[in-house]
Amino acid sequence: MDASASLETHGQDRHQHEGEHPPSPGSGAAGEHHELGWWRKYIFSTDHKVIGIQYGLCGLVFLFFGFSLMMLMRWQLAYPGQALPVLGKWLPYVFGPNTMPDGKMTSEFYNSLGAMHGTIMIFMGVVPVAFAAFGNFVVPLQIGAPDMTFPKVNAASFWAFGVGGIIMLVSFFVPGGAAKSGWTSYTPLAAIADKGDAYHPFFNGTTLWLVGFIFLISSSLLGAINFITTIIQLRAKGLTWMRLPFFVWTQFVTAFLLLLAFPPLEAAIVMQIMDRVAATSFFLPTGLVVNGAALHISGGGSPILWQHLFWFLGHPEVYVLILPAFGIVAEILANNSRKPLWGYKSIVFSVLVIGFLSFVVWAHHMWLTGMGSTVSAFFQTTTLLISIPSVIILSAFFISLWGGSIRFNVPMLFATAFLPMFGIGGLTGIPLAFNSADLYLHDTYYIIAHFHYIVAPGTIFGLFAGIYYWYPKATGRIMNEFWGKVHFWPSLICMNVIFLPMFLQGMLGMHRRWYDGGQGWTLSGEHIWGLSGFQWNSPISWAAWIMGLAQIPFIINFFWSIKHGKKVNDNPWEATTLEWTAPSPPPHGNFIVTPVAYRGPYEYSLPGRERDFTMQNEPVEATERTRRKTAEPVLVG
Amino acid sequence: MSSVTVVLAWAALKMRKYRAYWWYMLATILCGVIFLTVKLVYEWPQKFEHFGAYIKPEALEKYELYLGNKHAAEKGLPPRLEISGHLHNRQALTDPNIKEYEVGLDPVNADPTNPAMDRPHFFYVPPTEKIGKIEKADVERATMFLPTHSAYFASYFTITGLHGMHVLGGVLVFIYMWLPVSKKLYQHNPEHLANRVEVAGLFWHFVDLVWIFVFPLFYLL
Ligand code: HEM
Ligand SMILES: [Cu+2]
Repeated sequence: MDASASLETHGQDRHQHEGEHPPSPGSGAAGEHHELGWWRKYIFSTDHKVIGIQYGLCGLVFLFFGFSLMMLMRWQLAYPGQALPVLGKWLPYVFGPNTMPDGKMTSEFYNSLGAMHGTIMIFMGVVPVAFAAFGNFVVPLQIGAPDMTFPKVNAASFWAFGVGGIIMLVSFFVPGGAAKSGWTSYTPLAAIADKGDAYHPFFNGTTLWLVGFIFLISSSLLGAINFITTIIQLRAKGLTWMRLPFFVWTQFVTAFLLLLAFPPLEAAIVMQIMDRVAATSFFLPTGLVVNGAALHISGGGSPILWQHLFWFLGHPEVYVLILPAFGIVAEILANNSRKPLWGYKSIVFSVLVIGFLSFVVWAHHMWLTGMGSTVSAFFQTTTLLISIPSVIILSAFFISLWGGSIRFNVPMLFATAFLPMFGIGGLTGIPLAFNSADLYLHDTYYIIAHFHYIVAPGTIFGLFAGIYYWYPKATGRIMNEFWGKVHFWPSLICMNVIFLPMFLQGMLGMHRRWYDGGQGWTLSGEHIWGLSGFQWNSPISWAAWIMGLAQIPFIINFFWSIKHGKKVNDNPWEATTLEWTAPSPPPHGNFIVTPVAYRGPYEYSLPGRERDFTMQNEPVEATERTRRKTAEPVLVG
Repeated sequence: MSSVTVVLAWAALKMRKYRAYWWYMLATILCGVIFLTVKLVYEWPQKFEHFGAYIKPEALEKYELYLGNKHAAEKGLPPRLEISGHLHNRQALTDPNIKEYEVGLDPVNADPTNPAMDRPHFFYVPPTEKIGKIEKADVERATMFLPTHSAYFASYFTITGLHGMHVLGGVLVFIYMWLPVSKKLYQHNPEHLANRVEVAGLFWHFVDLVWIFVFPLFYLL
C-alpha cells in the first residue's frame, strides 16, 4: 500500500476517533476530555496504554494464580494421598470443606484444579498478556498511532474479559466446585458433569465455565477487530507493510486467528450450555447411559462434533499463544545483537502461512477418534507442512545472532533462552504429527511436556522478555538488572527440571490425568536414572515449587522499580522502532510530533553512520541512498 | 418493517428533524417489542403446552388408528413415529402410577389418512377434541415440546432464543437513544447521535437479515 493512500484514510479515521470525544477547544467538551477523574483515567479508561497495562496486570495475576493451582496439584502427584503440611489446614476454609479434608486432596478437587489451571493459564493469562496487553500497549506506539481505532470498543473488550474472569473465579466457590472436565470440556463427559442434587442447576462449575468463556471469547473478538482496523488504518505516514516491525505482523496475524477461530467455539459453547441447561442433545449420542441408567434425552447428537469445534479454535489458539512471543523475541534479538533481523521478508511470509495453515490442522488433536485414513493423511500432511514456516522463523532468529555484537541484558537473556526452549517444544511435536506414533503418546505426560516447552519456557519467557524490554517505555524507569538475572537463571533451570523428565514419564506410558501420579500403576518397574516414572514426580514438584519462589524477585522488582528504578531516557535500549520516539511514559495521544517513517524497522549498524542504530523516523540522506544501492550486502555484515 | 423505520429515523436525524426522529424511533421500538411479545407470550408457551410421544417400533401397529402409516406407505411418505397433541393428564409425566397419557390429538393424529395432513401446516392448527390414549409401556420417549424433545426443537429454541436476545439488545439500545438523554446529545452534537443511530441501525439490519434466514429454515421447511 502506498504511503499517501494510507495517510488519507489515516486522517479520516483520526477525525472519526475524535468524534468520540469532541475536541472543540475552550468548550465544555474539551474540559471533559482533560479533566478526567481518577476513575476514568486509571480504571474506566479508553486510552490504549492504560488498557494495555490493566490487561497486563490482571493477566499476570491470573498467571500466578493458575500456577499456584498447579503447585497444589504437584503435591498430590508427588505425595498422593498424604496431607499437605501447613497450607492443607487452611485451604478447606478457602475452597470449601470437601476439597481437601484433613489436608488430603479429593479427586474432584484435583480435577477442578487441572481444568482451571489450563483454562486460566491460556485464556486468562497468556492471551491477555501476550495479545491484549502487549498488543494494546505496543502496537499503536510502534505504528505511530495516537490510540486504537475504537477506544471504547477497546475498553469494552477489557471489561468483558473482567466479567469472564470473575465468573471463572466465582465458579470455585459454588457447590461442587469449579469445572472438572479439563480445559477442553469434552462431551459427553462435560455435558453430564456437575449435575445432581449436590449441584445448582445453573450455578455449577461447568455451566459457569461455559458462561464465563462466552465473555472471554467476546472480549477477544472485540479486541481482534480493533487490532486489525488499527493496523490497517492508523499506520504512520511512510510506514508501509514491509516496514512494519515484526511484532506488529505477529499481532496482526494473531488477531485474524482469534477473529476467525473463536466464533465456531462460541456457537459450540452456546450449544453445550443448551445441552446442560435445557437438556438438548447437540453433543449427546442416542442411548447414552450414565451410572447404569439411560438418560431421558432425545439423543442423536455427536460428541465428536464438540471435539471438532473445540480444536478448530484450539489449534489456532496455540499459535495465538506463540506468535506474539515470536514478535517480542524478534524485536529484542535485533535490538541486542545490533543487527537487522535476518530474512525479514521470509519470516513475515512464514507468519502469514502459519496463520493460514493453522486452520487446517486441528484434527491432529483427535487421532484417537478413529478418523478414516484419508482424513488422517490430510491432517498429517498439513501438520507437517505447518512445521516448515515455524522452522524458517526459528532459523532466521538463530542466524540473526550470527556475527552480532550481542548485549546480554535481562530481556535478551529471556529472548535467547526462548529459542532452544521453543525448539525443543516444536521438535517433540513432530512425532505427534504422525497418527501411528501419537496413538501411543496421546494423553501422556509426553504431551504435557511438549506443549509446556512451547508455552512455559517459550511463551512465558517471551512475555518476561517483553516486560523487561518495554517497562522503561511504560514507566520511564528500568527494572533492576541484577534481580532480573536472579529471576532468570533459577526460572530457566527449574523449567527444564520440570518438563524434561515429563517426556520420559510420558514415554513410559504415564497418563496425564492420573490423580495418584501413577503410583498404582503396574508398569512402574522401569527406571530412568534410578527413578521410576512415579518417583520422578517429586523432583519435578520440587522444581515447580522452587520456580514459584523464583518469581518473587520478579514481583518485587516489578513494583519496586515503578518508583525506585533507575531513570532512563526515552530510548534506553538504543532501538530503532517508532515507540522509542515517544516520551516515556507517553502522554495521552502518544507522540509530541506525529512520526513519519522513512525506513525499515531494524536499521542497526548501518555503515558510515556515527551511531549503530538509525531510527525509523530519520530521513534517508542523499549520500546514503547512493551508497545503499551499491553496498546493500554490507548491511548484514 | 422496523428496518425501514430505523432508516427513516436516521434520515430524519440527518435532516435535523428531532420530532420525526422520535416518532420513527418509537415505531421501531414498538415493532421490536411486538415481535418479542409474539415470541414469548404466544409462540413459545404454545410449544411448551404441546406434548409428543415417540412410539416404540414394536407398538407402531397398535396405534395405526392415530398414525395412519399404511396410508403413508401407499403414498410413499416416511412412516410417522410420533403422536402429539394436548396432554390432558399432565401428572402422567411425573406420576409413575398413571399408566396412560391422555392426549387431545393434533389433527394429523386425529385424522391421519386425510390427504390434507400429508404435509405439515404452515399456520398453527390447534389440537382437536378427540382424545387418544397411549400406554406408557408403548412409549419410547415422551416430553412436552421443549428443547429436549428433538433435534428440531433443540435447534429451534437455541436459534430463536439467540435471535430474540439480539432483538432485545437492539430494542434496549434504541430505547436509550429515544429517551430524553439523546435529546441532550442531539442539541450539542446532532451528528454524533446520527452516527450512533446509523451503527445501531446496521446492527438491526443484521438481526433482520438473520431472521430472513431463520424464518424459512424453521417455519417453512
Ligand atoms: C511452569 C509451570 C507449570 C507447571 C509446573 C505446569 C504443570 C502442568 C501439569 C503437571 C499438567 C498436567 C495436569 C493434568 O494431569 O491434567 C499441566 C496441564 C496443563 N497446563 Fe501447565 N504447568 C505450568 C505452566 C503452564 C502454562 C504457562 C500454561 C499455559 C500457557 C499451561 C497450560 C496447561 C494446559 C493447557 C494444561 C492441560 C490441562 C488439562 O488438560 O486439563 N501450564 N500443567
Ligand atoms: Cu494443534
